[in-house]
Amino acid sequence: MLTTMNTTLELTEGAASNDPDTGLRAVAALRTLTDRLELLQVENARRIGWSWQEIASRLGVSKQTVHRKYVRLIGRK
Amino acid sequence: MSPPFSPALRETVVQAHSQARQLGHDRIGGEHLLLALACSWTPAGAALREQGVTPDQVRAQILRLLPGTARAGRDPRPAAIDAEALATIGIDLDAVRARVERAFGPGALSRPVRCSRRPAWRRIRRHVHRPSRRHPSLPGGHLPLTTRAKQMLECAQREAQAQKASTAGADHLALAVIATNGGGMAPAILSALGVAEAPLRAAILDRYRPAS
Repeated sequence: MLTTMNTTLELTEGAASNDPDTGLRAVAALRTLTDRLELLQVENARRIGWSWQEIASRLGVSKQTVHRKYVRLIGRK
Repeated sequence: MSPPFSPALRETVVQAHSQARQLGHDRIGGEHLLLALACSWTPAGAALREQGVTPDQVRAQILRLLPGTARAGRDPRPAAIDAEALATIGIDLDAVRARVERAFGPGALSRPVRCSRRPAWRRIRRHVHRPSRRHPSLPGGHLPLTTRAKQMLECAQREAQAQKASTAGADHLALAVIATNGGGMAPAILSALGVAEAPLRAAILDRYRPAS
């Protein structure tokens, strides 16, 4: 556990070195990760009957935005 | 007034469409037109094969130049998340994955998200092929032509005009596709096969000369 922590710390220091390559790749990876998590969560919320409005308010976006983004992927119910 | 497309040319575009489909590509480019011509029973196709531009060779070159079959940026397979990059900002992807999979099942994080941040109307404008008189829609086809492929069709019409032909045929299209000044993949494939434009052009024109 300690070694994992150390590795992470070292890497974090690497990110702090203002290297655009590392920094930008991290942002892109984070975005992909967020997109996938968002899809999973929205899908799950819809499956258990949440409205688009309820989902949108948690995500901090408008109801239209979530609907537009996911209706074709998840389908209306 | 541009000469209309001949049935043989139309058939070639239809074949290019199914070749693009088979390769899993989302657009019809010059490379697919070249492949369709190389497969065709038109005199232009025979000329291409005679010069060593066979369907197998062209297909192999397309796969070599476009590895993974799909065009960059439109890959239908989920891209791997860059775990190393995430680690630099202190995120352990394996830990995230383990938790997510515990809640949503194995492979939950590996699903691609194919939605775009662009508004829906913009997406439609970008991806839908609008049929027009010049670029008629293809039967059962949804794949649009690349800009370069459209230019090739226009170039085929100019070739036909220059030759005072009544329609733009597969031979005119072949001349347009092999033209090196257009850029794109078709010339790259030909140069990889060691075929120069001039002899190929001569061979194609030769095939059509007795008929005209």
